[in-house]
Amino acid sequence: MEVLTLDKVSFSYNGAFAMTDISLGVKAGDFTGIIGPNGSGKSTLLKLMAGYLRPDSGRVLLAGQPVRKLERREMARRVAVVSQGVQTGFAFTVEEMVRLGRLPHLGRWSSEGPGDARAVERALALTQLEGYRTRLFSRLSGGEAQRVLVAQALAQEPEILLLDEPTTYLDMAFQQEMFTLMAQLNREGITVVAVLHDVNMAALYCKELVAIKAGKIFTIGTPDQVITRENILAVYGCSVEISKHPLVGRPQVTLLPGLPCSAD
Amino acid sequence: MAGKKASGTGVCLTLALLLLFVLIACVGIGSVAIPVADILKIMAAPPVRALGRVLARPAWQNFGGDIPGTWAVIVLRLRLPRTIAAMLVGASLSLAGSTMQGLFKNPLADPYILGVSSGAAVGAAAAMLTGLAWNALGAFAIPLAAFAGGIGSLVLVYSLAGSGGRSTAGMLLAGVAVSTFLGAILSLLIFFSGQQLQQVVFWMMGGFSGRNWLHVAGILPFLLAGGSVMLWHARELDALAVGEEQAYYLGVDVERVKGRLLWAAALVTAAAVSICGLIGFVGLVVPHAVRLIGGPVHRRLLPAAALAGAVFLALADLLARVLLAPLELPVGMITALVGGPFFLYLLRRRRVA
Repeated sequence: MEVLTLDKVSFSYNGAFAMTDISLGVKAGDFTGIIGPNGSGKSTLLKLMAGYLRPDSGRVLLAGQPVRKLERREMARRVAVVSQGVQTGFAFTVEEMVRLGRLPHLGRWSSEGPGDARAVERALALTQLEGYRTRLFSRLSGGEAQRVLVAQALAQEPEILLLDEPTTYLDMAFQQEMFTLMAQLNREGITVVAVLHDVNMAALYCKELVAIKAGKIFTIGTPDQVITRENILAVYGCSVEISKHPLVGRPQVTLLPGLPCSAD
Repeated sequence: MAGKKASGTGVCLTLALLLLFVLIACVGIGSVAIPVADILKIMAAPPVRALGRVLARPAWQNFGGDIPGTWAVIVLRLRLPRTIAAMLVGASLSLAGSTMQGLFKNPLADPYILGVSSGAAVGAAAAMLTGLAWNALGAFAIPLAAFAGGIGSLVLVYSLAGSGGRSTAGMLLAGVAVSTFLGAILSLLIFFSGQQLQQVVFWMMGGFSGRNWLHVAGILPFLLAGGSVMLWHARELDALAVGEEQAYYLGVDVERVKGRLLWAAALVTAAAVSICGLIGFVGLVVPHAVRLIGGPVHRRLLPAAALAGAVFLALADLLARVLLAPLELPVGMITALVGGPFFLYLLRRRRVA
């Protein structure tokens, strides 16, 4: 069943940058990676899926219903978003930030109940933030802050998790942990869609890849179908060698030093 | 320094007790000092006497009869309404400041950031100069004109920023532009004010001299209604303080909630300004201080800031009337005098920590 559908969606920021004619279906249980060069429209695509941006034409549907017509709280109980560059000048602690994820579940005057506490604890445990509860969010490193935002999204207990470059600020170990976490959540039934800049990690973990180029979908398919020498050259403008991962057999990209690499 | 925070109920309970203590102090201290026991007796007298009439108990009807009548007048007609007016204004400005700071994600925002104060000042000055104050509306001409001016400037800011989805930056810029423009009009009014000059300037410095129960009744509904709206949206305000896009993803109907909170804060501010003139720093400093003690979560911050603002402004008013008695200083001067250095201290401490 398609849980998230983009039907002939077009969008532009005041005519400057355009996404044109995007049609895409995400099925329940998918783990989809969106790849493409900088400025190709990956983040814009994610914001369209989340309903934050309104398409100029076409429709975005959540399980068949237009997302812009859904009640905000209802939508936030089903779809959580980990976005980039969230910062606040106020001294929220890590735990307070994660508890904000319960907002769409809580009544106006009601306090948090045992169910809310459980969801927060689980989110903290999954992101290994239990020791960070009273740390100030604004003083965390980029990677730690990223994990807090993932924990906040998990506290929403969503059916669908959308992530915008969740591994950007993370070192190798935390990158792997983040991907392992996404894969684990996906196995538990959460549909995951992530904008990714690391093509090799995307190929290792995602079930499906969407390659974007200049505001259009270039190709959609399994990692084996998408990660080919021709596609990478066409999308990223890079001449690369493709090999099989020695353990899991997924395609891996090797850059070829000395050969021209232009992002056009 | 980790975010170690006092419990919300603890902070509020302490502040509520402090508020009660300050109320008694403000009512007792002055040119005529009145002992605490007598203050309590005087305040208890009206309800006890009324009850005595209903239940036909002559002894109750004479309750407090041993206290000088002038004392009862000083407490019930002068100091109590004045102190309560100061407390309500302090609570209003602190609540409005907390809300504006959260909404604009800017710890330096204050209740006057959208031009409510400049509009109110223009309204009040216009009322004084046109002599409206001595006509049909009597004593209420100035508060009403100030209120109308404050709301008028907000409407202007809101509609100027309206094109383009009311971005935060757009609202702030429109607020600055409108404030500057109204400031010029105010200067012009002051230039032509002649004999009313002192009255206009005094109003702009803020004060509670001669405020009575009608002023209390005028501001209370706005404080209750506006405060309820803010508390109603307290969790959403947390999300907005993290960022509008993030708030959207957390299920906040951003435009609607923002609009409601802006209007709530502006109405509460306009009502406060209209009864006492311009009093600065309360709405900026008090939310800051409370956040340092109790953290930025608005379900805790809003009630604590309201109580702390009430305490702060009542004390400032007390200082204003006793420091150079029988001369009365403008309260706005006291709050700026105390608030300015305190604010610097907070900023320095924050940077060091």
